[in-house]
Amino acid sequence: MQLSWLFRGVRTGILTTRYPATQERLPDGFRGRPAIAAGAAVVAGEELCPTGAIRADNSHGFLDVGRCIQCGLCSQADGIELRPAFELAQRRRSALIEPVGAAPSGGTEEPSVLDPAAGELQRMVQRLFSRSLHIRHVDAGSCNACESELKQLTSPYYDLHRLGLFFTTSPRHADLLLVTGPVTQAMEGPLRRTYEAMPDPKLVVAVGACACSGGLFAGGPLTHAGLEEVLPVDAFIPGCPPSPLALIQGLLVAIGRLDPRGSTA
Amino acid sequence: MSLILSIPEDLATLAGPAGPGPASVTTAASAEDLLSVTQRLLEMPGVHFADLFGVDERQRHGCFRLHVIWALDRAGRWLDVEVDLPANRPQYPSLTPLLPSAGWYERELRDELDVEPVDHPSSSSLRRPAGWPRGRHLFHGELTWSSAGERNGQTDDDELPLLPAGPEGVVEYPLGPVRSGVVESGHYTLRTVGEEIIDFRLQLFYKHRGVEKRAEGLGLLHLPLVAERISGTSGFAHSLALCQAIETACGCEVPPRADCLRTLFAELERLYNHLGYQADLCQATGLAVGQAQFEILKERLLRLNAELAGHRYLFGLNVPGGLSRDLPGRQLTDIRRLLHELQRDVDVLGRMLVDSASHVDRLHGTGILRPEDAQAFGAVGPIGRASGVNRDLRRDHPYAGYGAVDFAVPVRDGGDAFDRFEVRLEEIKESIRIAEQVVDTVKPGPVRAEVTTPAEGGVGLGWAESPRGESLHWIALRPDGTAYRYRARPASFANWQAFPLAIPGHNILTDFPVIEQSFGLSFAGADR
Repeated sequence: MQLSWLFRGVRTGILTTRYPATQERLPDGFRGRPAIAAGAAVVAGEELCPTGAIRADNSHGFLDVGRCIQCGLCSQADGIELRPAFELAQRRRSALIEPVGAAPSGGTEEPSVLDPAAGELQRMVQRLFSRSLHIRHVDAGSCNACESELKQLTSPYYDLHRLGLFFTTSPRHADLLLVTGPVTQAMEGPLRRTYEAMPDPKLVVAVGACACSGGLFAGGPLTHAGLEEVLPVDAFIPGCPPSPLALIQGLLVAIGRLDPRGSTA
Repeated sequence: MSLILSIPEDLATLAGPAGPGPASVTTAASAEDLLSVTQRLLEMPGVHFADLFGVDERQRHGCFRLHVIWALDRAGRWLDVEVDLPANRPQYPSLTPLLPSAGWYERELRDELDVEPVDHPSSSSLRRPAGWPRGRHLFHGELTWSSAGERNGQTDDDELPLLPAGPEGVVEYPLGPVRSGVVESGHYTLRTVGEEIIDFRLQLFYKHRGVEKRAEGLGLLHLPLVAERISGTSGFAHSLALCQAIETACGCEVPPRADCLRTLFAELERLYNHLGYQADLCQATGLAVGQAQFEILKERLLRLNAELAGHRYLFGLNVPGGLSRDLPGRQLTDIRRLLHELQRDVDVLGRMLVDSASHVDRLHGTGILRPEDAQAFGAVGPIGRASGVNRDLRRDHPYAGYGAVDFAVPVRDGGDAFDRFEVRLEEIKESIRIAEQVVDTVKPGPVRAEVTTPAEGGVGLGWAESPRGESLHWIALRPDGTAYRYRARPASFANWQAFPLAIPGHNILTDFPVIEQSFGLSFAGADR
């Protein structure tokens, strides 16, 4: 009977994506991120947006991709359309906040002029981890959609292991802490202890709108407004939930194998 | 004055197989009468306790109002027993000694509304965070989402349940809340003598976000977004139940095509969940190729969802009044093809699983949830059905388009992991059958109707059979269409109460992951 499983596996063939070596596209109607025309669209979008991701603000207005829960309500406004983009990860929280109508930033990370030493340390850490990395995931109050997408990473379609990335159960063996959820009060303590149990050097990545900004639960009484309120974060992967392709891009951005994209994805 | 006791015949008629009538009925009882009313309801066949929650009605009606919701399966109806409690001393005799499945509901009531169920067997909090000051109760009307939680700087220092010290030779395993693998957070305490598990305690609510509170003050446009994110893998079922509650509250009739398509999407959600469940179970038993094969099938469903709905988890699809988007005709062909291939693949893989001794040997006789325990502790969905609880909302309280489709409800009465596995395997086949019927019979037409909140506001109860079972949503709307109170009772909140009963007794330590995966419950759904 074990033999029939072997044959079944072999007959299924190879389904694995070659991303990022090849480009991948999500279906046309996929709600990846909004593209907002300047002007009246921003005001209309702000009315419709449930999380304050779209803010009209004197001169232009801002789209905070870290708060976007991909609900698509903003596209009811004229001048706002949804694009099936998934390469949304950034290393700095501020890079997720895009002025509406500004020119795209060109896809490369600006060096940190305020603290060149921090930039250097970042690059050293990335060199250490760029070939192989062990990831410890902690659920800090997600709705479980993020975990479902994370689990698909080790499925045949995505095969995270081909990139040298592995999940580990022990924080002692982990290089990267991957956190989902806004960080509930109850999980703050266990999360911090997991972080402290990880030896240096280590990276921390926020997965999903909740971890990036608190998502729909920001400002509430039982959770933080995202991971940054609790731990220093090295990369943010927006989405609600981020698809496995977005997760791959985000992890590779975190370890320096990919550069974050510009603002028009 | 108790309306029910004064008209004893009506209750039996209400609960019996009856003719047409409203799908949900409200009646009032006094606190003193509640226990006897409960006793009478429990003696009737086909009557099941479904939910218990409270609303701060001090502003509007000068009282706290308790709602006890019952499913009257034979009549295809719901009964909401309302009990008004005085604002200065809100208490009533606890139902838990009579009805064990009410246990958690009453503790939640005590935590979050300061309503006391007198003589409840447990005095401990269910999910109040450790840092909260005494006297702050989440559902008190004066607290809003943004004002409810000024933190006093204390972070939760684990309040782990302390079991009384065991005798020598008993080994205690505290597992969690950070656990192995990509899993949700929750805490288990296992005690073993040698290999055999002799005791088990569960501590959930590490993921309590306050979903119900979040909904307060939100309008119809945003409310479904909250429902979807209670438990993301049953997002469609929850938003469907909530939208149906809103539609009832507003007296809105959903167009037939919307009902049909809602049925289709609900089954697509059930399918990817059940396929992922089989993958998880294969992981627990070490059947790696089986796991990979089911992960492939799950991914295909998620990609279909992305094509049809723009979202892999079907978020953003249910709106009050119907659906936010329609399906172009050519997509029905795609769906039909995928369902056909899926049917073939599941038939083959299902047979292979059943023939794999290394897989099924670990399931037979493992983690038995006895039928009487499943009944007593209110197990629902495929977990209940594997333990003889023959209930399915799609059949017993049809909603959306389920009244027009033909399907079987698989039931087993052994309650072991194999039965839970088999029920879900059969349900995959029935889901495909339902989806195919919808695809073959759906007619063109609008998919969304107008919804207007009545001038005096409204309340509504909505329900859906999510992949994990019966999910109930109740909404109270103000005249301006914003939510006054939102109640969500996902299936997992009921099922987790039954879970601990399946652990001790002829299970060894290495059976535990298999039992856990065989239940396949959602922590987020319970914790909200």
